[in-house]
Amino acid sequence: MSDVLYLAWRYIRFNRGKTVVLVASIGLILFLPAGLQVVARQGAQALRARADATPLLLGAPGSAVDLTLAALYFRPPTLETTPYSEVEEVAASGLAQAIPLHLRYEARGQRIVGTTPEYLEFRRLELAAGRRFALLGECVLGAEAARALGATVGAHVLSSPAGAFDVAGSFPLEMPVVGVLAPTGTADDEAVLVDLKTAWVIAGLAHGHQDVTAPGAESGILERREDEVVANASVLSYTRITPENLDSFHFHGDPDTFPVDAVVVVPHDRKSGVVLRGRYGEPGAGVQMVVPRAVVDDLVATLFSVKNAILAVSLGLGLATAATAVLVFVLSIRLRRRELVTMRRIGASRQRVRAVLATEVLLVVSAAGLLAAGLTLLISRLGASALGLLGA
Amino acid sequence: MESGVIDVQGLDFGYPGGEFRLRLDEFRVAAGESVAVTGASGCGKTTLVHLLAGILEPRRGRVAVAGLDMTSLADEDRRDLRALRIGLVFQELELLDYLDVLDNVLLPYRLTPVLELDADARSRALELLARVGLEDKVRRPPGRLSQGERQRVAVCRALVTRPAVVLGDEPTGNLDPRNRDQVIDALLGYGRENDAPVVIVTHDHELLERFDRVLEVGA
Repeated sequence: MSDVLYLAWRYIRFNRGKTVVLVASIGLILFLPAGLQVVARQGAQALRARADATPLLLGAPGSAVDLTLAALYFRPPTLETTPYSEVEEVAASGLAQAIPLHLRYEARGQRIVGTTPEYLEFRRLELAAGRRFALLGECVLGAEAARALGATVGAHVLSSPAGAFDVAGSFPLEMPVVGVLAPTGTADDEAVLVDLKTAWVIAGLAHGHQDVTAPGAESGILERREDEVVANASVLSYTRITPENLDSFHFHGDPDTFPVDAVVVVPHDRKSGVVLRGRYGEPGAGVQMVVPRAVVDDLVATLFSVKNAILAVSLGLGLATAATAVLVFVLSIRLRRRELVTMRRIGASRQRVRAVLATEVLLVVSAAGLLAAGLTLLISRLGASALGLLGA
Repeated sequence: MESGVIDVQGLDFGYPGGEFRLRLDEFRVAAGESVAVTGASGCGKTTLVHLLAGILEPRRGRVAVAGLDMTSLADEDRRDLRALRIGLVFQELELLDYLDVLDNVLLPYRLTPVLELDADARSRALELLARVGLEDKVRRPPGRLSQGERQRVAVCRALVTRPAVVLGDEPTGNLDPRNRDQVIDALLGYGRENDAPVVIVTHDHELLERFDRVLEVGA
C-alpha cells in the first residue's frame, strides 16, 4: 500500500463514525436516481411484456386503464361486469379466441381468477405439481399464492366472503387444490385459478343443497307449487363440492347473462384483430375493446414523467448533499490545520498533503459509489415486482 | 563549511506588514554543541528556530545548516533538506491521533519521498522508543498516552531520520520535571553521540546549565 493511501486509510478508519455517515449519505443520494432508473425500466419492461402477450381485451365501458390493470395484473375490478354472452359473441365471430376472466373474489388476499382451461395454455402456464382444474370447485394455485396460503396439492382453500352484508347466498366455498403452477414472475403467480363456473358458484349464481324432494326431507319444504318446490331456510347449502354432491349444483338464471370482468381476445390473425377493433370501436357498442400495449404505453409514459420529476428532485437533493459533503471536508481540513502544518514542517510537500486529503475524499466517494452500486444491483435483482409495482 | 554546523550571518527578518524584526549579526553552533535559546515572550525565539529550519525565509542574511545555505535554496530543496537533515520538536506537538505510536515516529518516511521506509528505519524507530521507555506502547494511539509520553514520541519522530541538526521549540514547556529531563536527555544525548548541533528554545532556567551555551534573543 502506498504511503499516501496508507495515511488516508488510517484517517478514515479512525474517524469511522464520520466516514459511515458520509458514505451513507453520498451513497444513498447516488443510489436514488440509479435505483429509480432501474426500477422504472424493469417496471416498464414487465408491464409491456405482459401487455405485449395480450393482444386485445374486452370489457365494460369505462377506464381502459382499470380494465387493463384488472385483466393483466388482477387488480380489483372497478368497472361494471360484462355478460357472458359477449364471450360467446366473440367466439362465434370466428375471428378470435375469447377467454373470460372473473375477478371479483379473493382467498385470504389472493385473487380468485375464474376462467377457462384455455387461459393456462394462452399464458403458457406450467404445472409444478398436480393437474389442471377439471371439475367444478377445483382450483390451481400460482406459485406465490401457494406459498402465501401455505397450501399445496391436496389442501383446501376457502374463498373469502365478498362483504359482511353479502346475504345473497355467496357462501365461502372450500376448494380442493389440484395443482400448483411453476413460478413465472408475473401476476399469475399470485392467482387462485378456478373454472369460470366455480367463480359463479362463489358469486351465488349457482349452488348445491339437500334434495328436498327426497323421501324424509319434507321438513325443508316451505311451499309446494304446481311445478316447483320452495325450500325453507333449514335446507343445508353445500360449501364444498364433492363427487357426491356435484350433481346437486345447479344455476339459477340464464348463463348468458352471468358476469365476467374482462375477456382476453386472441385474434386468429392480424386482419381479424383489426376487424374486431373496428367492430367494438363503434359508438354505442356497449362494451369497450382495448389494446393493452397502447394502454400500458400511456401508463408507462405517466410513470416516466413522475420518474423524471423525482429525478429532478433527487438532483436537487444530490447537489445539496454534495454541498454538505464539501462543507464537511472543508471544515474537517480547517480542524486539521495544525496537523497539516506539522506535516509540512516535517518535510511533506504541498502536493503530498493534498494527495493525502484527496485520497481520503476518493476513498469516501468510492465507498459511497460501491454502496450505491450494491443497492442498485440488489434492487435490480429483487425486481420491480418485489417492489409491489406489478403485484397481483 | 563542515556538515552538522549551524552558521547564521547578518540575519534580518520581519513578517510582511508587521513591526516585529529579528536581527542576528552572527550565530554559529559547532558540531556536537548544544545551545539554549532564551528571551522574553515575543522576542523571536520561535521565529529563529523556524528560520534555522528553513520554514521562514529572512529578508537579508545567510542561514547555513548542515553545509547548505538555506537562503540560496528553492522552497522544495529547503523542504527536502529539512526532511533529510533537520530534526524538529515543537512545544505545540502534533502527533496524528489516527496513527499509533510507531507510525507517528515513522511519519517523516511516509510524507517525504526522499526518505525510504525500510527495515532499518523501523528498527531505528523501535530502538528510539525503547530508549525513551515506550517499547511496550508502540501500537498505542497517542490519545492513550500521557503528555510526557506524547512528547517523547515527538522526540523519537524528530530523531528517527538521523538528522544532522536538532532544533526544538520549547519541547519541555508542558512537562513535569521527570519527563522534562527525559526529553532533554534524549535530545542532548543524540547531539553528543552523533556530533549534531542541538538548538533548543526554553524558558526553563533550571535547564540552562545543561547546555554548552545560552543565546538570549533580544538582549
